[in-house]
Amino acid sequence: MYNRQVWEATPADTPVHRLDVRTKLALLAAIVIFAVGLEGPRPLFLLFLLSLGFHVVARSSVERWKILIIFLLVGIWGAMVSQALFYNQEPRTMIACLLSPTTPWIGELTGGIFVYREGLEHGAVQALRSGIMLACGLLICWTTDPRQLLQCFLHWKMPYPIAFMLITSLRFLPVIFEETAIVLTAQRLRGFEPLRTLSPIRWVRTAFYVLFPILARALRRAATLALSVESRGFGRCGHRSGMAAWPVVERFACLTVFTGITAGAVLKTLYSLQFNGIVYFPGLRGVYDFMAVWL
Amino acid sequence: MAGILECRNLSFTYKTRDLPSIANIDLKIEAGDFILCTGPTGCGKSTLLKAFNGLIPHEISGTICGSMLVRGVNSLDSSVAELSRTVGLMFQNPDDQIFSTTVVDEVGFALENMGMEQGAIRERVSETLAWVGLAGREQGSVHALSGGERQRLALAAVLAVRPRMLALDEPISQMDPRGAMELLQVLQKLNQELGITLVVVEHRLHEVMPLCQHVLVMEEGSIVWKGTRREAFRDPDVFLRMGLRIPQTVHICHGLGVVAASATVEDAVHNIRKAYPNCGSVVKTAAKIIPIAQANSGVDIRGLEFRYDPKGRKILDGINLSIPRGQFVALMGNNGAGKSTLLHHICGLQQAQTGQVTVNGQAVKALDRRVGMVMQNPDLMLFNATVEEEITFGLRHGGGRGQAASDWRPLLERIGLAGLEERFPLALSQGQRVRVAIASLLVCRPDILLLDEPTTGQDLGHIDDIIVLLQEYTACGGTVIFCTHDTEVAARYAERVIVMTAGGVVADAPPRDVFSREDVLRSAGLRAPAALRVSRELYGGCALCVEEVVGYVQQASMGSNAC
Repeated sequence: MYNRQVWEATPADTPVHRLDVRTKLALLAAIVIFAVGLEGPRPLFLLFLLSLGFHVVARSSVERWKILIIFLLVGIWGAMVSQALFYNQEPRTMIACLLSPTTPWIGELTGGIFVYREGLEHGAVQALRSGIMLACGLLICWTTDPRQLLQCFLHWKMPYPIAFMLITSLRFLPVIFEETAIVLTAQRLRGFEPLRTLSPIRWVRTAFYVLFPILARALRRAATLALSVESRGFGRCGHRSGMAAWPVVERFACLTVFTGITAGAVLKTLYSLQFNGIVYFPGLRGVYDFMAVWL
Repeated sequence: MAGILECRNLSFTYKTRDLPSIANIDLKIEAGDFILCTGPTGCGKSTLLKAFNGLIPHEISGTICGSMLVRGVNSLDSSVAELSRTVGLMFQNPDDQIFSTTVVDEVGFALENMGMEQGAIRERVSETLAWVGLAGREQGSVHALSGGERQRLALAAVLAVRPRMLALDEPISQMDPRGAMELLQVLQKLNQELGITLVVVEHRLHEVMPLCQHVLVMEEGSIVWKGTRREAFRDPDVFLRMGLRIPQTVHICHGLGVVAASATVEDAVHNIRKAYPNCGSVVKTAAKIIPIAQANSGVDIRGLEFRYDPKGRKILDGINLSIPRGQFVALMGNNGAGKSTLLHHICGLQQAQTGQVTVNGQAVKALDRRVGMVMQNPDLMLFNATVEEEITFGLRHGGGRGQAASDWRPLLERIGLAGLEERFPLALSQGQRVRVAIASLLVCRPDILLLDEPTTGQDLGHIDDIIVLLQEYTACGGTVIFCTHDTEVAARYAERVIVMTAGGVVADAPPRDVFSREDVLRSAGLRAPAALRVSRELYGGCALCVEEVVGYVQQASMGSNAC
């Protein structure tokens, strides 16, 4: 049957687990900035490999790798197919025709459906970006105590209702997955095979059937958790223990990464100015070449 | 004793309701007391607990009248954070309140919210864990704890701030007997050794009542009875009238007109012997043992083995069972014994790795429609917008076996839900929700009905409703197999009891046989019903329910049972 613990944060003694929660969040932010800022497929691919490498270091279980791979494959497939078909930038190179414009009615209506090479490439870049964020986000969920995340958000002055809502959703996500599996099983036991159909109407009906009991329970449970933490003195006001000191090495590493990001942003601005013919510094030619290839 | 909490004419009406959930409560709780608060579902017990530590009215909107003083301070003048240092509140399900991934973080959470230093927190956490029997588990994962241990962790998380009073909302209602016993032992120790005041809301009176000092009974938002435990034992009518489950020993004494001084078997036997000196003179069992029929097999299991992980331990280890049609079978055993996995094999959710499962002579297919299954949490089986849609769901999806579309209406009447056809199933009471889940399967007339803990968290009235429904089904040739930890329910209603430990069947016999074997019960973490223990001590019998003991003693005292 369904194993809910696959989705829940699990304590372990690995370098990733040992990192301070602030370091993890700072690095996640840095990686997200890199993933959005980088445009070349090569650096993005390297960053993607790095994010998977973190999972190796965190000794993610086989079940977790399976989940990660399924999500990544679905993301890659979705991004590449959608971009390959609907890419509208120029130039674009048609590599296949799925529906000729001369096809009666539908061909005329759509103007034909083609697969574009540039669309595939753009889709791959987008897929790498989302894959990097997904891998790092899941890594944090699987290796970090939700309570520490909450403390960190509040320490960084995130509004209490938003922080609590965010953490509660993280806390209950595994339970909701588990209960969805149980509801689907209950439906199958009563002769309803929601997943063995191609009818969109039936999918919508299934979604409602699943949502009713899951939402009802999720609401009750969230209310209980909120009351439980409130009655343990946690709330909007009040003096909490300060977080443990942020280890100097980790803080320095984060500082270095963000300095690198700032430097990268400056270089990218310079490259952009040069690329658009606004400002050109001959002495920075090597930098421009590096930027063209890697960033 | 000094007063720790006092309610003066306290009433509270939720913002979304018209009538008050608690009304005119006048109550004074003395320090060091152990109070059991009980009453039918929806009578306002949980609302009262939430008022104790200020969640009402500070966090839950509504109209409050009257006042509540916590150690002399009006609760309206204190925040929840301040009140929670005096009154700790623990909820029913530990999984809904545990917030962290490690034991130390969970227990330390409340202390961090108090602004305590990290070193002091570590010290306090260790001390608290020792109190609840989890010493040395600081760095353990909360996922690695058993259900009983998780409940004790939830208790430790509240206890860490050293509250003078603990309010516990149905702390054992979802637990197996072993887990419940462990938690109750901890609570008793906290009360007796540390002087912590306890208020426990619970339906399982037969387990908590013997430990408490005072009892409160609530009905429709008001306290309708309060007194000492001794007074409750002397006058159990108020509990019986509300369908509440009192200890069987007290119930037997009451039935015989004997005053029960305590809930122990020894006291009950002593007092009954005094009142009925002849009752022990006849050594004779109350009824003959009915052999289990092997013919006309409904479910047949041969050499069933199963493990989730190919290298892991066997979850089912060589199960051989034959369950005839029309039989009412209780499947018992401690958590992890393999009961649910066995049910999953019978309904085709799991496929046998070794061995075979057949229903009416044919091998079970995946999700076999001849078998219906009510899951442990029936709420997850209710997904339609109305009771009518819920009950007819199986019929509309090809589950009906020759029934007319209107066949469900008489069933609805039999389960007492007539007139509720258009109601949203999840908005019904707990007992009604279970009955809707069962009816939604029964309407399809499966050959076999499996139920995973159908009586957990239900009061006696609801249990009776469910059992009547199931007995009607077995009378028509259906077979019921239900998992339960409740020996009193199994003894009273089941025709046959199968006990499992570590994936194997260790006992399979009529309840009278099974509950007479102490070794089997001990290995499965079970305890014979008190009625059986009383009858054994009293007259060497093996009665299964209160009425049997009462009837036997009364007849014996009149001489009609004499050999």
